Amino acid sequence: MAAPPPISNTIRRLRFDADEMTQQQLADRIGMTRQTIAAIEQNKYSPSLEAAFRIAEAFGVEIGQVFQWKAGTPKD
Amino acid sequence: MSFREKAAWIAVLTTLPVWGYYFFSVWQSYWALTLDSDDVLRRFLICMAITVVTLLGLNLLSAYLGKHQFGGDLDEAERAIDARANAIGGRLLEWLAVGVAAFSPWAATNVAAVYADAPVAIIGIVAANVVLLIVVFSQTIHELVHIVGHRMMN
Repeated sequence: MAAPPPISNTIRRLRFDADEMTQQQLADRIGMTRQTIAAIEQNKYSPSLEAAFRIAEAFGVEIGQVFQWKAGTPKD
Repeated sequence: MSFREKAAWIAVLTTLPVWGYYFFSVWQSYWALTLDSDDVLRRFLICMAITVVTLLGLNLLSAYLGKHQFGGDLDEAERAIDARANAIGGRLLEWLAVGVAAFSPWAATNVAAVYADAPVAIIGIVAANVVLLIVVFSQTIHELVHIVGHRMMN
């Protein structure tokens, strides 16, 4: 498997802040499976740009508050 | 476990015993010199019926118990896994088909030597079963790639 992308995310905290929104609830909002949300949250899958925007939209925040590029990490 | 991964497990765990038995029995009949087209067709139809009923039944049960939508749309991660599985399974099928074509003259000569009294009929049965074998094998690999893809995400 490819190395995980140098991107971190705050989905777990954002879910907590949104009244403990479950992974299933987030998945239903953006049309994904719970398993995919779990994989994104654990940084095992990089979502498409569209999905990333949808996740940000679900929490009502900017995309940069959800996903952060790990500065200084050399690209492969 | 997602519905698609469960479906892949169901496909693999159904295919291996059912079609493993089928190909083993055809292989045994071939070497016992008792290969008969009606018998092979009967076994094929029974195995196909068992496969269809089992796959449909278990997938419906899986969808019901897991509250999944049967035949629902795949999300982007599942589509990516599906595309990889299609690429690997499809490429494998292509190479196996080339291999079968390359070995077919040698195989036909050997079949004709073993079944001297009805070589054409037996060659037909063997050819059909070899094609079936590579389709089942590549489809099983396709499902295994699905399982590995989903496991790697978990």
